[in-house]
Amino acid sequence: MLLLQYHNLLLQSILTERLEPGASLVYIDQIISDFDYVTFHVSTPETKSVIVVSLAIKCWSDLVKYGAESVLKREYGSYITETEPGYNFSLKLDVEALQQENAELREALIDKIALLKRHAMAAPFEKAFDTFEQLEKAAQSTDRGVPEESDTEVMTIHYRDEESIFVRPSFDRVTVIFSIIFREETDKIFGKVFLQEFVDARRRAIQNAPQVLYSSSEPPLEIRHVPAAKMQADMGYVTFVLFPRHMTAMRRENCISHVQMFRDFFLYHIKCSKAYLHSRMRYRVSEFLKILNRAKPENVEKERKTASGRRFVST
Amino acid sequence: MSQSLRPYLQCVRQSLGGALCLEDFASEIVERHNVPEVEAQTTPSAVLEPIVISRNDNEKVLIEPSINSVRLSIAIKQADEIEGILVHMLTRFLTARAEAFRILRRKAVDGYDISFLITNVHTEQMLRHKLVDFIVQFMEDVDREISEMKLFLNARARFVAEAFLAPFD
Amino acid sequence: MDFRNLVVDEPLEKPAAQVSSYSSSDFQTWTNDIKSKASRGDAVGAIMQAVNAPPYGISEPVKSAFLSAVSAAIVSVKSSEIPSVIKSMDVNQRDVLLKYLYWSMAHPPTATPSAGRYGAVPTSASGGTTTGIILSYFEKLMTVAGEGDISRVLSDRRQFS
Repeated sequence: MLLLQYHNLLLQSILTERLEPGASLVYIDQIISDFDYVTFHVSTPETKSVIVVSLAIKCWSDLVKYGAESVLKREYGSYITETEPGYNFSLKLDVEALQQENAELREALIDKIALLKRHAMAAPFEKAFDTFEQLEKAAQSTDRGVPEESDTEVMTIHYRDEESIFVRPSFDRVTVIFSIIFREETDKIFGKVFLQEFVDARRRAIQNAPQVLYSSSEPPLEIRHVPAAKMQADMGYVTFVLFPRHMTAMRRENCISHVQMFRDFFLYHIKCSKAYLHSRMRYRVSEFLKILNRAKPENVEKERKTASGRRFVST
Repeated sequence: MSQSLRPYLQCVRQSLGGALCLEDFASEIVERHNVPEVEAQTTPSAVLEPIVISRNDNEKVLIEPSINSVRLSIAIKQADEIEGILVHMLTRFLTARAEAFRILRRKAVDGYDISFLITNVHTEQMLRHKLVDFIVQFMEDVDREISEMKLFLNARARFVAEAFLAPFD
Repeated sequence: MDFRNLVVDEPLEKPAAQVSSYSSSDFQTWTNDIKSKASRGDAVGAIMQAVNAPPYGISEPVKSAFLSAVSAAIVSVKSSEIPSVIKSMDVNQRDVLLKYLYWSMAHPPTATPSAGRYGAVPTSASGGTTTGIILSYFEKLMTVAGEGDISRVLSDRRQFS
């Protein structure tokens, strides 16, 4: 699996199973974990015919600030229900009604619910892209060259304990910055190798990709004034510069989904590399052992007997 | 094999061969004990002169002979921090399995990456020249393994980066 | 030996290293001797002098200076001359030569201005060229002297260190 999927597979499969026409009504109470401390709770609190899907996400207050509620309302509309205690957002599904629904619509809905985390996280990005469009128009109409940079706000999403995403729209680009902490020396060095390739990939193969920058010493200029962007040991900053061609209406949704997954994707592949190297070392060690075992004399002396069957006894 | 590697390995092979003249030697300090003298360092007359064989600053071998044991420590080539971490990973992996290797020392001597301790018991149970073969083969394979691992890491990083950036296009 | 007076509980001392019969001031003059011989192109003569009078039991600054000079002389011999140099030595001289070779590998020359002949040598590769020559010496010495030479050197109590 090279690319991580945007949706939650378990959530999708549970719903598909339950909303199948003719599926029996059962009691469900299941907690599903996703990346970045996101948890889903799928349950049937009152009757077996009503499934409630709840989402708990660490940076909910940040997301609300940047308009997550309106994005989710647009996506899920009438399914939104009163929020379950302990969670940030809930959807209510009427099983019997949905089982009657035509298959295509039902699948579309299930897919959409499986993307719940993605949609919740999308709000700041959508806002940034909108701001970018306004600024771009303003810049074209006034035609005064570069407008003031400082009037755009840097949006900060504290999506993990110590790591954040910073999004900053500008008149010709949107800058997305991830702060990443490497817990281990190995991760740090592997991370450096990977990020160097991210930086180089654009120059070498994919000219139209966003520009990637990496800094391990200090926060990038764009976010240096943001209080959350303080420098810690083991902290690195990865900057994606999204250009207008990435934000066209056609690519917009895909781009948001993809950028969101960067950290998970990146660390996933570091771990995959470590796992591979580990299996490789295992193989190498067994090879070394084979070579070492050649040093053992092959024919260990057998027990010797006389013709009449008596043994020699060593003294 | 590169041109300068061959004399280096040959030198290690012959020096180790010369050092591996071991015999049983009971401790002179404690009755009924029999310890590797090179580790104990309690009987100066039983410990011989250590020698260093070096190819360059990063690659060298320390051979510490004694009457009943030889300690051999290898400094593995580390050109940059990636190779450094890979060597660290590999040596840690090996030393964790020191039991299976019998002649491997659990902890490397200071300044070196990995150490072996060959005692008279080993030379009695195993063939002496094959042990030397093992050490030389080990040195050769470790270098190759490290550079292959580094190449793999770079290739994978490149592939992954392109895979991530391609969907933006 | 009077065994009644022997204290058996005391650990055995390392046998005293045999000290050279020459004084350290002799070695000081020879250091310059060897350097000048090597610079005049008579590296072979420098080496022969060095193998006849090894600096056993000489104190530190003089000994290191002497050994570095010998090491430099060894390296400056043409590779085609090496076999004939080794062949002209007797067993004891070969042992001493092997000691010099091991010492040179343990103490690779630092990038001092004396390496100026080759231009600026990058620090990472320092010692790489000289140890290459030392290793080829070793190889040629082994074809003549064999592994017994190594065993003799390892077990010899007369060492430089």
